[in-house]
Amino acid sequence: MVKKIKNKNKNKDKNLKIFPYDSLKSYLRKFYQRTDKRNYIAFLKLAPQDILTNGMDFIFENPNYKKYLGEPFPKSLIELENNTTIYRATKLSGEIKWSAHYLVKYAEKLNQYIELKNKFEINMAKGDFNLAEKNLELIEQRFGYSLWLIEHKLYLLQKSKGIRAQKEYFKRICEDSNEDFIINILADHISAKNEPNYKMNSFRENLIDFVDRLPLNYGDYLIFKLDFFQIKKSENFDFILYHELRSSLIDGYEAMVKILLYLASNNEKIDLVEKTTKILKCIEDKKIKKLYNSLKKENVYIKNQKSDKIIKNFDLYESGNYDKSVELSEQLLLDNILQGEIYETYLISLIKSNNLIMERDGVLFEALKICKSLISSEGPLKENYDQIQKILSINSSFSWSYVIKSISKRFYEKHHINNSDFFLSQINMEFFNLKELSHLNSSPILDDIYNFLIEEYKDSLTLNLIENFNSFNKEGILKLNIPKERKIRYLSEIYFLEKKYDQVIKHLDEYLDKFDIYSYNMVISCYIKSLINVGEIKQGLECLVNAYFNYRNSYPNLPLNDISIREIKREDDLVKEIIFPITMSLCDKYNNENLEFELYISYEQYLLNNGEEKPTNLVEKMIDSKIDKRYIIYFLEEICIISIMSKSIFFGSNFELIDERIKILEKLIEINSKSSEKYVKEIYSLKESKNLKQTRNKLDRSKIYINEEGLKERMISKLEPTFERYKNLKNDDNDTNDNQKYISIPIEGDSEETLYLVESNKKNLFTNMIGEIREVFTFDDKQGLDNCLSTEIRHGRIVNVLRKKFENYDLITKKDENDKYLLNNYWIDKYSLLQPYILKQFSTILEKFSKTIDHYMNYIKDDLIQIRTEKVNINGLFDYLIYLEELKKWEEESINMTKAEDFIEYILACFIKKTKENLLTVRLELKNQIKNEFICFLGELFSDLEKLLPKDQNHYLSDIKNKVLECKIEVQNEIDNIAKWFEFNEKIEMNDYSFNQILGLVMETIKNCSSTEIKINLNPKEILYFKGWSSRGIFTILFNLLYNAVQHSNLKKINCNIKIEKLEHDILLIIENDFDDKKNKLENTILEWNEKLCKKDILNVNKEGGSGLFKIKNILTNELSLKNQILLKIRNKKYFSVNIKIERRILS
Amino acid sequence: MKNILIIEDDEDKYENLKNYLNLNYKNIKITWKASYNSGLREILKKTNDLIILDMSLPIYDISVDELNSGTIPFAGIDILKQNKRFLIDIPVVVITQFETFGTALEKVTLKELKNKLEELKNDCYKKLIYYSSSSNSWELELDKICKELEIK
Repeated sequence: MVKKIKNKNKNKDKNLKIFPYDSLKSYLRKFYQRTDKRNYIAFLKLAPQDILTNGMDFIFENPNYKKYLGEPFPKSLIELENNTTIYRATKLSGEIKWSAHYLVKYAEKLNQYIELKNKFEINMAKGDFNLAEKNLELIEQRFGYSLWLIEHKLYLLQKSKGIRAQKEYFKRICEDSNEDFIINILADHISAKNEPNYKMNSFRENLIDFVDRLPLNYGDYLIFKLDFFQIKKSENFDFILYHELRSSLIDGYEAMVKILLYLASNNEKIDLVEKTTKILKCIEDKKIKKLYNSLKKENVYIKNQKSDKIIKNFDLYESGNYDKSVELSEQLLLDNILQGEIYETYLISLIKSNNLIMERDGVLFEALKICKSLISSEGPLKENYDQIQKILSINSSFSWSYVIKSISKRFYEKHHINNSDFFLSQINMEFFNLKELSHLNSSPILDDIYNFLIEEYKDSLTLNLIENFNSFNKEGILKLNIPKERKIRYLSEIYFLEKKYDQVIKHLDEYLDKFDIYSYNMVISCYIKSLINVGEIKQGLECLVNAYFNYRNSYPNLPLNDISIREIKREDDLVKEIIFPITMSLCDKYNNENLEFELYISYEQYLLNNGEEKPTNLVEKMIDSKIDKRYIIYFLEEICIISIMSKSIFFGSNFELIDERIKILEKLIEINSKSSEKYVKEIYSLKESKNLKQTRNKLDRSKIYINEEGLKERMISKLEPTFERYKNLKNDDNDTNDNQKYISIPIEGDSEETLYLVESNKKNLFTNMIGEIREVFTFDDKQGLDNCLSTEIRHGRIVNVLRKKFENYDLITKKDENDKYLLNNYWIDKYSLLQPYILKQFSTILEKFSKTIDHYMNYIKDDLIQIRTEKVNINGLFDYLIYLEELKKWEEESINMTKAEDFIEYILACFIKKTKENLLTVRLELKNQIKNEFICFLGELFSDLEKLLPKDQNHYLSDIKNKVLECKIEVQNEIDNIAKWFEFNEKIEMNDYSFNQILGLVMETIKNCSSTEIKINLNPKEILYFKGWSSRGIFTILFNLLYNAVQHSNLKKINCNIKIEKLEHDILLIIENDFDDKKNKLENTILEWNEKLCKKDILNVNKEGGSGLFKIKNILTNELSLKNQILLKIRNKKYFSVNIKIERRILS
Repeated sequence: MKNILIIEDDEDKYENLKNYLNLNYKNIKITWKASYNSGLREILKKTNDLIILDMSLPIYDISVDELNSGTIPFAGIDILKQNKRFLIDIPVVVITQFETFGTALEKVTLKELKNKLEELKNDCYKKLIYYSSSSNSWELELDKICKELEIK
């Protein structure tokens, strides 16, 4: 399994895990192949309560029925996923009721489990990993295997023994479960999530990407299991609960608790939740009891010593006794670390009293430390928040995670927090957090509890404060014994709620600068919004922007979600100000919605209102107008970026955008020299990508290369004596009737074309010379056009470039060893829930499509991109048939030429002209006929897919249909691009280039041609620069070498070491890659190749397939005219290397 | 003579649209632009009477965009926003052949796209038409719009 995953991880984040298709298929098959002996159980799932209760009793009394429920405590991993075979209820209520009745049958066992789980939770939170390990061992002994156990064992091993132990356990799980689909996928993702350096954001992106390939209910199931806090809908809870209970009783119970909490917190199916918690009441789970009592509005709180201490702690904090509050908080936490109501007070008291959090190893302390940094706006907030998200995701079955989630969200994503978060936090606390509860006073569930607490703790400072605050009693607040700074804060907040914005401004104007960072964060939003509400929009935004630049980490507290973009846009004066685009940028960056377009408008309005269309024109004016330098830097750095500027009509191409961005960065270096390294890096990267693209375009346009001088030389050496003989031959005096002197021979396979041969000696000789010249021009091993077509276009290029377009959308597959197309598992698995016979049709459609595309692409390569003469390639688009009229014309025009050189030059020019006409034909053929053929193939595929399902179900296949359409556009564009390969350019000036540059280009091309992953290790001692004229040849050589590596290594992923160095007279290039020489074929042929490569004349350069090494030799010797030496080596039967020595004069 | 601007990056779809329009309306002149940038520049000339707009477009024409920076999934929406900004009052019909848009992270269905377009509150936006080369329903819908605009 591990190996399988590693091999398939191409082009993706290293942690992206690959779907074990076969496991899924067998897994799904089980669903559909079940025989039907469980109708009674299925009926019970939909039955009323009394029937269900009796029915469950009946089942438990009858082993013949009970056996269908499976093993509640699986003894092995195999048992875990092959447990019950009962049917799923068609409704969530049925599944929940059934499951609750089933679970309470094991109440005693569950109570034992909950007790052990609580101990485990506490030990993990405190960092007592040895004790936690013992807890987990006991859970395994008593309750067997569960997905919960696997998840938490991976977690514990990571924490206590590190990644190796965790990964070893993961490997064992995979092996012991027979690579079961669900167990593997879950363990794989959980194991990855536990890796210390794996970011939560990446995990989520990869999970969504992965889930997108699954049937919907499986997608939701995986998110529920792997990232519970990201669950946004209850749609597939029935499937999830059913699935979990099938695994084990423990998993069923854990899922049930999470489902009930989710439903209650989102006010969904409250009746069902209430009834279910009532059934489950006999289970000693605090959460379930608290939930039940809250729903029933029963007295959930008993005043006792513990609660008194908690209230005392709140009061200490409110009265400003922060040190004492810290002291008491720590006492309470050491007594019971799961008292979540203490966390927030503890953290804020630490901040206010400048104290450090107590030193402990546990996960909870790690979470608390991060929360502290979020509250006090310290450190890298985004990274910290990502880290806390990861901790929460891993610990989502523990109570404290809900509390921490609420705190972290309140201080980092306050606009995302909702009643559901507060509710869950309260339900998962031992007691209640009064302040948080006050946020929830509109909750129908917890209203009564709040009122009850107010009654019980009349004298509490905290409750008094909350009461006064909630009733807007400003006098009451002023009388309270709390620090003045806090009084001002609360009063300002009340004035704000009363919409007395002038009062807010008045109070805060005086005190804002005196606040500590925590209090400042609490009120800054009120202050800015008040300024905006009284019409001081400019001042409000200035304050916002200033707050951002003064306290960069305070941005979660700025009212970026509350600012009305529409209102701001109406302010004519504002659009001239730099704070306008900056505000928009901050809103875009930290707002809920994507405001990129609004940001672009603000950017452009700002420029236009200052009389400019492009940013660089405005920079000097900005500096002169004494705008805060930080604002100018932000504007240039973060707003004048390519993605924003690209929406402007004042730039006509990406190259223009890049040039503008480079100029902006150059200005930034002047203005902000301390960050110059960053800017230089960006400039380098932009220039590099621009240069690469320009070089690529030039190379693409110089594929058709005719070495006129070389050809002339070859032709002269071959034809000079013949030409002399021809000149000395007398004209035939009877040459009066042209038609008699030419013999007509019909061309094979083409009834309309005729080859003309001449009868007379002189004319015969002339025709022979033309034939010879044509032979050299087209098929000469060293300089011929076909050599160029073969090396530059046919060999590994045209077919692969086109094929990759289809492969990118998974629309075609490759052939196996038996020449049969592989199943298109990507789409087959995606649509695995289709009826089997439809799935078969679907697969056949895709197989047919692969066949069609390959057949046509091979036709392009083998038939169309070929040189046509009277003897070969009747479909070839490079038409070098010689026609009678041409012969006559050439003869007439060359009749007075006395030198062979002049004659050859003339005929060569005629063939070059012919080549230009042929190239035009090829371009037209590509843009019309070939493009249309591909459009038709894709159109047929689309229509076949549409016919596969009835119209009302057709949307089910929308993903693949979309891909067909996207592919159609890309293929059309690619063909236009390929058409550019067939342009004739007399001479394209190429700039000198570095080896790294050309290698980058080659790698880009390889990626476009092959799906084999290639990792390059290039460690040059120095960067070597080459002369421009060699770029085409060196590109092709490197392409051939690396293409060979990916094509013939027999590996899915290869490592390639490239070494290039200057020797005294030469350059030495060594390219070494690993390979799998299954049949020792390569080792046997290498000697033979080395021998051939030493020879002067190389044959077979026009043949496609094979290694392409002779083409390389040919390029070095004939195109680049460089002395060279090529040596192939094999090291340890595992590494193949090509060593090339070439003259140093190629270097610039 | 009515000027119709087609902003469409799929040449095949453009050809079908053009052929349909040329076959059914005599007094029209069609201009084709294949990207957000070239389409917007053409719109700003204010010489067109109807815009037929695709939803997903590249920023620049592939022929000038030598960097080939890919397609923007909702470029059509950006164009409609620009129209509103520049007070362009040319009727716009969005014709798309896709059933969903965006990435796995932010997938938008045809129905949701319709809502998005309506939320723009742009009076020039007339209709979202689903195009399929295997059905003529798009022709009927487009015909209705053309008749409303007195294109003959």
